[in-house]
Amino acid sequence: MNIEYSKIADKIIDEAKRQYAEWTEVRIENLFFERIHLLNGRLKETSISQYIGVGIRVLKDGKIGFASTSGLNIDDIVDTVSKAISLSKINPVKTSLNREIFEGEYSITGFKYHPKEVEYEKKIEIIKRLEEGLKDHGEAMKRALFKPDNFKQESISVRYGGYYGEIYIRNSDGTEVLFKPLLTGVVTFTTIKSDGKYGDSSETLGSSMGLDNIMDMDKLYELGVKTLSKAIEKTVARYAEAGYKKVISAPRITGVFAHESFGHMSEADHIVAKASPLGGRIGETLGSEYATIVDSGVSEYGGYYYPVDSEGVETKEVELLKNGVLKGYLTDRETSSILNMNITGNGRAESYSYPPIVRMRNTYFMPGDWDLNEMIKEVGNGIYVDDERGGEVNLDGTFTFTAGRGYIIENGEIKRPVRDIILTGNILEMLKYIRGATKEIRVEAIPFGGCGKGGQSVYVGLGGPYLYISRLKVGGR
Amino acid sequence: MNYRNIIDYGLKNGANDVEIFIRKRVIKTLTLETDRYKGGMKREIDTIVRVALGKRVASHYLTISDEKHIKEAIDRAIKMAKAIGEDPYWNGLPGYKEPNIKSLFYDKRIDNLTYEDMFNILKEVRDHAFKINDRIKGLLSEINTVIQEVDFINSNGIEYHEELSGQLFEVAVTSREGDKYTSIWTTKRSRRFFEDYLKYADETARKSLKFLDTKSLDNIVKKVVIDPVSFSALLFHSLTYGISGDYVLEGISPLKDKLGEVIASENLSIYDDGTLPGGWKTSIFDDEGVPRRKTTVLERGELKSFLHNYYTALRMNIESTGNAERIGTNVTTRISNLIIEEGSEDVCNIISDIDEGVYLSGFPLSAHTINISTGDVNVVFPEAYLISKGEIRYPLNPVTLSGNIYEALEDIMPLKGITDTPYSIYTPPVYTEKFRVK
Repeated sequence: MNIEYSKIADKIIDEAKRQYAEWTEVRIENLFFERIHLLNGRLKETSISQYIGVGIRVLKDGKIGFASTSGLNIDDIVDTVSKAISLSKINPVKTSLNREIFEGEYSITGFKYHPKEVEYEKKIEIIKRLEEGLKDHGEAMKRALFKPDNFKQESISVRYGGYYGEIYIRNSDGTEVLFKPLLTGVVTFTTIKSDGKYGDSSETLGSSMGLDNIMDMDKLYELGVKTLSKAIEKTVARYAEAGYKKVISAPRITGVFAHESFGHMSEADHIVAKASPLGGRIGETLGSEYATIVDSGVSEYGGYYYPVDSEGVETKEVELLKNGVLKGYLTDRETSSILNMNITGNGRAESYSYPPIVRMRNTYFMPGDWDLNEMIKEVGNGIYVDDERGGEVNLDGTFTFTAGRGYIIENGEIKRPVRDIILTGNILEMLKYIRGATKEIRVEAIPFGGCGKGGQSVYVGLGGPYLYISRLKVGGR
Repeated sequence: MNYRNIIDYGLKNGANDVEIFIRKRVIKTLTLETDRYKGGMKREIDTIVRVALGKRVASHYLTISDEKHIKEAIDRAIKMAKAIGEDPYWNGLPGYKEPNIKSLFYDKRIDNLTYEDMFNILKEVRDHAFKINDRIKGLLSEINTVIQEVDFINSNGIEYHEELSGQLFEVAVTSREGDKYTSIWTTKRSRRFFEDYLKYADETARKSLKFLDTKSLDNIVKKVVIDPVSFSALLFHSLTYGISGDYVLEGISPLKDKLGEVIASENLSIYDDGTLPGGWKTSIFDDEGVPRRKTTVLERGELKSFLHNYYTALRMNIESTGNAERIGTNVTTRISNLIIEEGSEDVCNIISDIDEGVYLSGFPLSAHTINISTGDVNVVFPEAYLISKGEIRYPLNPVTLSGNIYEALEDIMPLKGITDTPYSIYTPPVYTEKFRVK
């Protein structure tokens, strides 16, 4: 363990004890975020960010208080302890915490290139290679399934991001953990125009495996070409006809269903607040037998390596839905105590500036036994949707997601391309219509954006298998 | 602290341009989720240095503002700048210009709001909402106060200090009847102290109940009245990027070749005003030290100007409009306070003339998926009402609005009554027939 962190934590815990706190938690962070953004051949951003600070949570007379400060100045830190204590004093609500103790150092291994040790010149090479792929019009035209005669490329954007550093968590019960998070990735984006019609496309590649995954120059080139070929297809795509359809969702869209629509409802703070329709329904059948959803800190399928949460709790894999039956909720120290459930390691904070709240890690549908081509044949007439473009949900399970592109499936074959497809419904309704998942599964995390809740954004793994939904409302224009 | 010494340090170590931006904030947050309180106080520091070595530019962000760490950040930024290629368009940092406003309104009452006050307000909000009806099952409300100081200095002679206050309130109410759930939320933010929380909670709670009993929209409808918050959401995720100098220069804006052209209805005039008294984005200087000002964007439908920072303005051989905004280490161009001029027609008069239409209200879902390059819109409104035979009849199941925002602007009719919205857009309700609602 880092001795400097340990000394600061001693000081905080002693000070809090002096002010009669019955429990204290210290979270010290020293994190780096590198960004490079190449836009239309120009380096629009080359930067590094360093986040240093402390978050302090106390329990006094059964009531919680939280305060944080940037930097590691001891006077500021001592003052922050007092702020946390005074907040606990005025909190009218008594609570309880799961006090399980965890100890250890956690970092991912098995990779060669940590971004901290790789020179900037190499990172520039990575984004330049992606750009080369994005500019290869000939190869992209060859790959496009549907295409116009010609097009003009309007913009090319390539981003690199690297996130790493240390998070030290200690509490007065004896929990003491050091976590070295790591996440690197790239994002491509291009817009083109053909005969007055725009096409755009974006691809991502990211993981917790250092730069190893994004230093394969051939793979980067391929990603660039793929981005452009998909934008080309979009210029000849039409809007889908609105109505209820059979749908195959590509991994990232499947991931959005699992995460946004279902996952948030299973967060135990919403259960405690009686704001989730999943409250009190464990054991109830909510979906078809093909619907199994898990949330995992460390997944065999990839995503964000997250072995320990912001409360120092080792993460456990949680089966939320098993063959359509609701099995569990995601808990942090507080909700696991209130609901008298196991603690799952879902207490996460964006940074030292925020108190931990219940959040997901890598949430996805489990794979099934289908092959994608068989699935397309089985669907017969329907729609394939890909290229997740965000969406929104309400806590009642209502969702609206946009898929940037897709294909109409006719007689079991991919036919014409469609674009900007809006998917709406209620997840509790949709789960009943899941007819299967592919063996192939892809879960990915990138150091851009993240999941937002309560004003906090955290990295999550998104993805899953291809999913067959036999009835879903599709909107076009 | 003498930041000038640090600037000199950067210049001595090889930089031609050095800029330091330091924002210190004390943020108090309190959230009430039905009967659970959460909150905290945070002291945040954002220090951003930007250096240029000739035309090689790099930035460094850190959460500390002491001299030692800022100098280390400058060293790292210089090292980075040496490793990268040139930006052919870089032409230095802005110099000092007299500001258009001399001071900002700093509301001491926001600073004086204690946690005890905040607890009491949220408790009152909750108690009020739950008393309205027992079908109200959940409530989430939050108060934030922000006290902010900015120090800025660059190697071209700009140096300033600003202080701001801000207050935010959010409330989301969940209602249930049988298997039907509704969740409606609203938010308000202001640089001035406000205390009409109960009004917002009351409106949100009643709306949440109202939407327990909805009907489907049977036909595709084209006559649409859009309330100020909804219209702001649509504009924020489309036009505000379209008029941004950054997006214009990078070829992403569909308006890039349209300067001087009529792109919207002659009823539509829009201006950006970073000096608007009490505006959420009002400040003396923008984020790179250029004075905030008023800029006409659209005048009777004609595109008069884009919004610029110093860099994008130089690339187009014009003056910066004072619209630089720092998003992390990136200096981009964003609106300050965008104002849509109101029309003369009252919203009730318009509705009374509609035989079949829809009134859209509140925050659309997925507004961020509006295509910036094209303006294509495909969003869902959980709060929509049927207009039939000249009257608002009943709430509808969520409806989809689709079309293109730029095509809609050609037809849009601003109505009477400007409202301040949470997007820093001040707009009246509008009427259009260019979207499809189903």
